[in-house]
Amino acid sequence: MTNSLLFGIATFVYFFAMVLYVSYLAFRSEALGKVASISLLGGVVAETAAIGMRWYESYQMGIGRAPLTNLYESLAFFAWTIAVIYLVLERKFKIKTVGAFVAPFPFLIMAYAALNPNDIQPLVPALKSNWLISHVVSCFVGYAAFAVSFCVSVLYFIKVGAESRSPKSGASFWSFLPSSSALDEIGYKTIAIGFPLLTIGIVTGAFWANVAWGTYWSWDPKETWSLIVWLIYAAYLHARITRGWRGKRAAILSIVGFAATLFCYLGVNLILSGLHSYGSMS
Amino acid sequence: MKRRLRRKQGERRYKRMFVIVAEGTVTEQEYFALLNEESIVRVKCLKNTKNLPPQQALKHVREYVRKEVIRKTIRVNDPMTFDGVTFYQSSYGALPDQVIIDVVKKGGSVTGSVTIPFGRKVDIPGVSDKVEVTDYQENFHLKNGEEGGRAVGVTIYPVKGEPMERWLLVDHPEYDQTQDGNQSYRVKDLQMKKYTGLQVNKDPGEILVWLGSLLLITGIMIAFFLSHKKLWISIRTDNKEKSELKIGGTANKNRNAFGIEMEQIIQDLKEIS
Repeated sequence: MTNSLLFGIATFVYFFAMVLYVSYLAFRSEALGKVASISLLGGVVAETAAIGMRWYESYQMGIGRAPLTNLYESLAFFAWTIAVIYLVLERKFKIKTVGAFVAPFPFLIMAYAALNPNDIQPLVPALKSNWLISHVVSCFVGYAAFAVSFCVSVLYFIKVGAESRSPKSGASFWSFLPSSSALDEIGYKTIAIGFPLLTIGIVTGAFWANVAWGTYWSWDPKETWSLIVWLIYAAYLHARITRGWRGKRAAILSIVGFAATLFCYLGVNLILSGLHSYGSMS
Repeated sequence: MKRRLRRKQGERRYKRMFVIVAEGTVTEQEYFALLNEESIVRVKCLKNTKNLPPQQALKHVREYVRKEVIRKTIRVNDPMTFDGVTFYQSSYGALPDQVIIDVVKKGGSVTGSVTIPFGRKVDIPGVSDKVEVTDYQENFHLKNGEEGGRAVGVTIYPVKGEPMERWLLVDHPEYDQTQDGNQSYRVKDLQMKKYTGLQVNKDPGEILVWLGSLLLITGIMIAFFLSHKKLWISIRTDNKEKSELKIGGTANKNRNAFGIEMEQIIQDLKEIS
């Protein structure tokens, strides 16, 4: 299948992007940085082609469905969104050094996805709906934004530690990172992107459930966990906007939020069962 | 199986209801005299929608219905709405249609067997107790945490005393022998029947839910992405006919971006002057 080949190429290119971003960190050469960004972009392009091809091939097989319906496809899309969100942030905030910490994720996620079966199966009747794309895309872009925010929050802690050890000298090992206040701001921005998208994902999911089964909300494990995630990030935003939580406290909430996101995405699928059992390992 | 049809709420003016319809059967009138005084709805659970002979199904339905107003195959994600009432296929599964149970005396000898159609009380041979099949589980969890497989839930009605419920494991016939009593039961034969679960809703407020969700999302968007920006410009002319322009600005969100925006405005003004 052409799509598998293209996914393989994308994984390979993501690997190179990761190596290049790490080398950029080591050598700090403009040219190397440029090549790193271009290769990550190349990985995104290859993966876009792979997703498109998989979609097209499903129609050729007579199945005809969006490639967003099992663990393999959702992981691939997750990797794609993380890469895209990072590239946008890199362009906007000039944070190329952060790339060495974010770029491994698309590669690692793709490598993990490759361990899962990737044949194109027909959809179960419950998933045959026009709501599928809007629901899955908004949820996953939200997840990916939270993933980037998580990386940035971890870097924030490293940077804050380094700044307090050597407050004035720029010679610290971590001086290549953006300032802690910039990291704090980027962490907030990504959550401000992810939170509305998660909200849209939950709302479209509720409406879809109402069309499919006649109930908006059934307290399925996935639904419960997505609510937990939503509440954690709502707390983050609320604390930041009304109580002025910044820095360490905000970063802790962001890390806790991403832990809950990971459980909502993978933990629920692999451990618990329910309406979203499409994503199990079997 | 028709006896198992159940109504969750309300009388004629119900809001939500859940109905189980067994394969190949038609719902009874009493459960669907719901829409209004004139209309009733009968639902037939199709055997297999792919190989359905439509003429046959139609004939079957016509026997019950005087004048057909609407006809539609309801599938998950494809509900039917009529007169403000929506029918969803919300679940499906299988229930025991008929169960044959062996009665086993202490020691292991079979004293007789009893055939129990689902939902009916039947005499247990040899004693005057009655038994009814009341529940079924595809994957029964034993108390010690092990998987028990298929399990039929029966209720035993003794002549005297309270009814007793017990689970008979289809794949582990010896399970019931551990229970107290003079005799135990084991499942000899189990015939399943498929059913579909219908959710029936009257939800005139759906548009409000839509509006509420829309408000929630726009509210969040406004809170995060729109910022209240203020800009002051003062122009003063002094005695020497020289004008002085002062610009100030503030924003309640995203000040960095606003700063860049302001720089641009100032730059543009400088170019004009």
